[in-house]
Amino acid sequence: MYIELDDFRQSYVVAKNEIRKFVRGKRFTIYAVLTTVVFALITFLPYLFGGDLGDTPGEVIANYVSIVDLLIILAATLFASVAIVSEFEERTALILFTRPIKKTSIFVGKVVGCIVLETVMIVLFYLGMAVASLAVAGSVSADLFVSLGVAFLFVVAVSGVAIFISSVMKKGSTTAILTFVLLLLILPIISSVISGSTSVEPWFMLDQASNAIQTSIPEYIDLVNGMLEHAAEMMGVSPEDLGVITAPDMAKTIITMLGWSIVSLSLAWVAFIRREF
Amino acid sequence: MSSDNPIEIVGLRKEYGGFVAVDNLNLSVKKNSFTGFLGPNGAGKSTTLKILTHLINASSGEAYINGIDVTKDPKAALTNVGTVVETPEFYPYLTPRETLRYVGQIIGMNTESIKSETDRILEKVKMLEWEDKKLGTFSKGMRQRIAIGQALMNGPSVIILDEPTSGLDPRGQAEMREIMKNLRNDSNNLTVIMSSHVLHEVSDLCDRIALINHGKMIIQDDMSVIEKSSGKRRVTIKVESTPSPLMTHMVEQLDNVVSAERYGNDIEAVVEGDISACVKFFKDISSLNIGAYGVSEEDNLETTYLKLIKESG
Repeated sequence: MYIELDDFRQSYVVAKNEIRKFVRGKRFTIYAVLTTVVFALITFLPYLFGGDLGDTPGEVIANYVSIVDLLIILAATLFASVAIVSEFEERTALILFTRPIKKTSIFVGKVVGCIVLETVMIVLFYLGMAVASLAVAGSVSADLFVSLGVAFLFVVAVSGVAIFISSVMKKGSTTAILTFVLLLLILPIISSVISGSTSVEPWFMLDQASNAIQTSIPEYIDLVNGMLEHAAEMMGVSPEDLGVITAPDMAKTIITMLGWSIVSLSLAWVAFIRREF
Repeated sequence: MSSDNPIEIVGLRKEYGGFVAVDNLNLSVKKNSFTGFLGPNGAGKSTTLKILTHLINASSGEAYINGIDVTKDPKAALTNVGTVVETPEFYPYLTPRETLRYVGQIIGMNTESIKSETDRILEKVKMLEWEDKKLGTFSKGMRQRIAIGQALMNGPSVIILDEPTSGLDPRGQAEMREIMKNLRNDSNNLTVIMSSHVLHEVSDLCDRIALINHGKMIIQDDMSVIEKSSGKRRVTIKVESTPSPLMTHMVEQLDNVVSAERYGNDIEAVVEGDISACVKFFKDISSLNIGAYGVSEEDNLETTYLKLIKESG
């Protein structure tokens, strides 16, 4: 197999079309409205009940980051999970795949299109967080950018998983449900089983690595551990029994995210290349 | 590969599990011909065309387009090829103009060429007035016209059509046939292969025929040669009153007539032999006192097609 400059140009054309497809679709509107509503609720609800978002930039951001991984999973479910399967299900492959274009160029274009769109949505959410932080605390914490970096890695990894499922399934609706359930339920259950029944720490699981989106903000750790201490006191147990959270091991986080991205995208590519109409 | 044959298939085979869909198929499509690719359901037509358009992979064999093996280098082989496989769907959020622009960008045309080519094609497929409407709202016939349009982008030298009128209403079929007829008449350097079940459409459009059954080639030749190969002609005799059994019997007794039967208000007869046999038949009918006021020859391709398919098992 050889690679030409034209292959990248064609991938760019496919990626542009992929982004346009999503932006003009209902899924994008649903996602944009949902994200805006979530942001507005986190921002204004505390004031409505006489509270506030905090005093320091870190405290302000801590309010928002807990929802970021769910927003990313939702984005992967709505966009990446249908990227491949829709071409077969909706028969648009009969136009695109019969043109002089390598399947790899189509694959790369679709992956890049999904990741760019999802990243833009998440960056906009973080931009909102930064504006809120500026408005409430007068500055933006550098930890916000660390969290954003981890969030980007998570976008790539979950998109890889979603695109793999999309490459092997036949129906878009099933693919979306499977992606959402896998990322939100099955992976955490597996992690919980591993940590509960064995002595192995499941740091290599995607859901565990995604905790770094929140735990990269020290004020978030303080907030959660404070709540855990309070709960432990009420239950008469030690806070350690409830599992206090600590600062993330960034090396392990990055390795996990990259590992899941590389493996899932490689499997997705193989499945896509072998798939016939 | 011969430069006279823009499409050349050699020993092509496609297996699904134990089922052989295409079995050692050889096919040559002559340059500038309009070839009808015929066969019953499950004969392997769509499978062959899907291999040619790289939608599926061959189990073995070679399939050349313009001298390049599509099984080895599909991107190079499909350059300069337009395709309409089955009834493709379009991205519903795009307009016809945006769809053609997307296809133009994929195949590497520059902005100016895309614009002029899009104008030309939209006019050709009579979709200019719909150019900025979203495709999601279009009827099947309109979408199929866009399908033909996208296949024409950048003036391909080879066009592959897989049942292009399938699923269209009679008006949609007629519109598509007119577009394809114009395509045949307007282009000097265009090779078309078209699979279809509609034999009168194939008779109307094609100058060559390739007939397959059970994944194997039965015959490929000029339309005129194939039509003559059965040696039989089906003719309809129009009579002024409802044909009686006696009238049908009288026709059946004429020289060179294989069979005759009443068909509505007409008599349908099968005549065997060459042109001179037909001339004699027409004379005999005129002299027969059955009130015949018209004799017309039916689609011979159908007779030949049925005979060849029956013979091939």
